[in-house]
Formats: sequence, structure tokens, C-alpha cells
Amino acid sequence: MSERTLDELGPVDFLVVEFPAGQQYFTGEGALELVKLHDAGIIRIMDVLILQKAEDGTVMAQELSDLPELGELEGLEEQLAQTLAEEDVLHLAAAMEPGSIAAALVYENVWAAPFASAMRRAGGQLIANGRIPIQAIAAAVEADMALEAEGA
Amino acid sequence: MPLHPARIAAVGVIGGPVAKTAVVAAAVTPGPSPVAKAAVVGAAVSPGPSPVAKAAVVTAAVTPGRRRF
Repeated sequence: MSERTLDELGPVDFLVVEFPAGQQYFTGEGALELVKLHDAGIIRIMDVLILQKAEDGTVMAQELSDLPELGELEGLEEQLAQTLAEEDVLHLAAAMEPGSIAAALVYENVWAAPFASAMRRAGGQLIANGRIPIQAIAAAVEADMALEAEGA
Repeated sequence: MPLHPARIAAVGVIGGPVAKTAVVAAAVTPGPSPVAKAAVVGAAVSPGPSPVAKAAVVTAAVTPGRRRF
């Protein structure tokens, strides 16, 4: 990565994708799509950890480099910034169910960087953000439809 | 945890235990009954006997120009 000032960085998000016990169908497709996003410059993968939560609640974390076959992620491993600390692993694993495996991902939204920089230069500051699950939007629309039908 | 040694003494960035997203989503979903709403969410994305109706919901959800007040 070329040198970039703090003002040029995009917002950084994290996510944890859990694969519950009995629902672990790993084909490499997810890794392929992730690498595509990284290579296209849409996001920059900063950190990846694989978390495993045992039935007794103990958590084991694996570095990408510890995986036997990295596949599509091989080129990515050298570029990771190791953003997550040991205490973060425990914080992230708090959301996991016992018996599950999860991928913890930290990434910069490179696509948003120019817009965010422009907003800052204009005096703007981020005061709220979040994610609306598409299921929640669909549910709200469905509820609206139900109300309209009742009123008809 | 066989973590890289650099992570062990590093300062964390997450800030605290993370809540499961489904709980957060239910809490911020508009409506008087998060539990009931969650059930609707399940219905909206579950396979079932009425794919046409569900397709209509998804279409409505992503249609430009729609405003909900």
C-alpha cells in the first residue's frame, strides 16, 4: 500500500461471521469473493482471524498463517495489519455460540475514503452510522403492506 | 490461543464484548413489538408457499422513490 495520510483513510469496520455447529459448509467461495473485493480496491482487508468456541465456552483463535491451506487468501496474509489484539478476540467471541466457528474480519472501506475526506474538508463530522439488515427493511415494508390492506 | 505475539500485549480496538447482531437488529427495528417483528423478518426470508408475495415485498423494499413515514 502506498503512503496515505490519516485524512485519506476510509472508515474501518469489523464483522464476525458465525458458522454454527452443523452448518459449516466451507468451499472457499467466501474467501474468493473477499479477495475479489480487496483486489478491486473496494475494501482493504486489515485483519482476519478464525475463531472457534468450544462447548465449554473456551475460545481458540487461529491466524491465517496457521491454516493448512490458505487458497485464495494466500496473497492476503502478508498484507494484514494485525489490528486485533488478544482482548479483542474475547470481545468478538462473546457473540458466538458454543460449538461454532467464526471468521473475524477488519477492513477499510476504501470506496468511502474520497467521500469521507470531502465531508471532513467541508467541516462535516460523522455523528451516526449503522447497518440496516435487508431483512428488517423487507419486514417493515411487509408490515406497511399489511396495514394498508387492513385499511382498505 | 496461538495468536501472533504482537497481539498479546497490544491495545484492543473493539472496546467491549460484542452483542450478537440479531439482538441489535431487533432492538432498532421500528414497531411496537421487536419479538413480533423478528418473527416477520423470519417469515420474509424463509422459504414458503408464497414466493410471489415475498418477491413483491423485496421489490417494494428496494424500489426508489418509496418513503415510509
